[in-house]
Amino acid sequence: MAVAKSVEGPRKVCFATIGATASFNALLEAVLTRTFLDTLEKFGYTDLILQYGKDGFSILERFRESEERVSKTTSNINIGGFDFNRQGLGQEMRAAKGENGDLEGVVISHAGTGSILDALRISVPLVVVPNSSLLDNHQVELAEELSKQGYVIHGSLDDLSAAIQESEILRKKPRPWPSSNRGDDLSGRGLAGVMDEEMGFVD
Amino acid sequence: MGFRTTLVVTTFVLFLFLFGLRLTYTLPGYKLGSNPPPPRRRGSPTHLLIVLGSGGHTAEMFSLLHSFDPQSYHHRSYVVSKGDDFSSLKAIEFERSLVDSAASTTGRASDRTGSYSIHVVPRAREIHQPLLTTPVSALGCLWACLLMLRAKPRADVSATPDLILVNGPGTAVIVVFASLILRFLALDRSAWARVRRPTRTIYIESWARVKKLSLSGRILAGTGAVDRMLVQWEPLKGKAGAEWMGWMVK
Repeated sequence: MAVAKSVEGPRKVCFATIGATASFNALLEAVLTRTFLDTLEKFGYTDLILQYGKDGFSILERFRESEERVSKTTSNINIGGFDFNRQGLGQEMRAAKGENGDLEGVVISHAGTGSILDALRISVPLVVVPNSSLLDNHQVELAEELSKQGYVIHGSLDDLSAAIQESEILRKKPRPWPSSNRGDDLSGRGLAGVMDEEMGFVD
Repeated sequence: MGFRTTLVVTTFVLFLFLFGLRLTYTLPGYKLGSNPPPPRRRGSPTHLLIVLGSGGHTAEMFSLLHSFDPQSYHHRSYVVSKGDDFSSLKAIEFERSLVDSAASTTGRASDRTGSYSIHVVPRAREIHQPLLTTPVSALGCLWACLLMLRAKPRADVSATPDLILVNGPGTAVIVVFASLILRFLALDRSAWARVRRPTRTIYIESWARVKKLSLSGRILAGTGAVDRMLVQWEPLKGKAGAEWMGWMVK
């Protein structure tokens, strides 16, 4: 088992979440590599928190064992994790945001709407990694479009270290929320305006 | 061709013609029913029906309703699928937040936030259910929806909802079709009213859909079953009559 390092000074948290519905072991395996942890360390991170789902714990255990057996040394990053929290992931998102004097870190997330919106709402830098094993490819389109508009980084499982590097640039860019994108809605009232029209409210 | 055959053929053609005429009159997409809606005073008793789906759809629906005004929609009916406790919980949480925010602004709450009810219907299709038995379970769901749309949730509002909000779960398709079947058969409560106010339906495509409409969206908007089709991303603009509204989630 990795020994918890005594932390002095502010923490910098990387939070990786795979979501509640499907398993996404490829993402867990991609963050639990020595290369990735070294990158985190290079950019001043202290903690890696994993939301690993129903069958992700064994991957974390296996990684810890191999760390001790093969490399004899463990990374300086504190690694922790949990299955899933039905109350939401707000606490971990805020830890990555760096409240209470900590440094702002990063969230690495599967491409589920709920997690993406949660991260955008608190404006923490976000790396979106679509789960390619899901048949629905609309998640890839969402990640591509959001990254094109400069809201997130579209991360690839092959090179998450690059995504960490890019997130340092994203951190400095403004990502206004809520979005001012009103499309063709001239009233600017959004859904409430359309509901009023359909109800026949004229005032 | 004998007289009998002519009679049968003529009757059949006439029947088809009337069926088609009634159908085009029923489907909102053909704009023959009543368009635009007759004006109505804000504050008159109204009934809003919201279809909730599995996790993602439900969370997004409540995110869409971030600036919801409970005083304009007196009764809210939430439709949830059997076994979907998450959606029921979210609906209760949302209603509680309406009461809380009314209490914080006016000091007195309950009489100003109206009422709500949660309606549980059987699933149209279980996950991994074989395709062969799907029609049977879908019919069961349809029947439950028809019964729900005939039952008054409150004395002062109509059983027929004034407005239906849907955002994509499979149940939404069944609920909208059920409402159209009642309208087709003139069994909806507004059919014989002095001022006809057929149910209006708004479909909001998920924020996760960027380039392609979801299956539910294609079925409902493609058949002209909804009054408004709202999308959040520009590439979907104009598809099946979609209006590009920008980001409605918050």
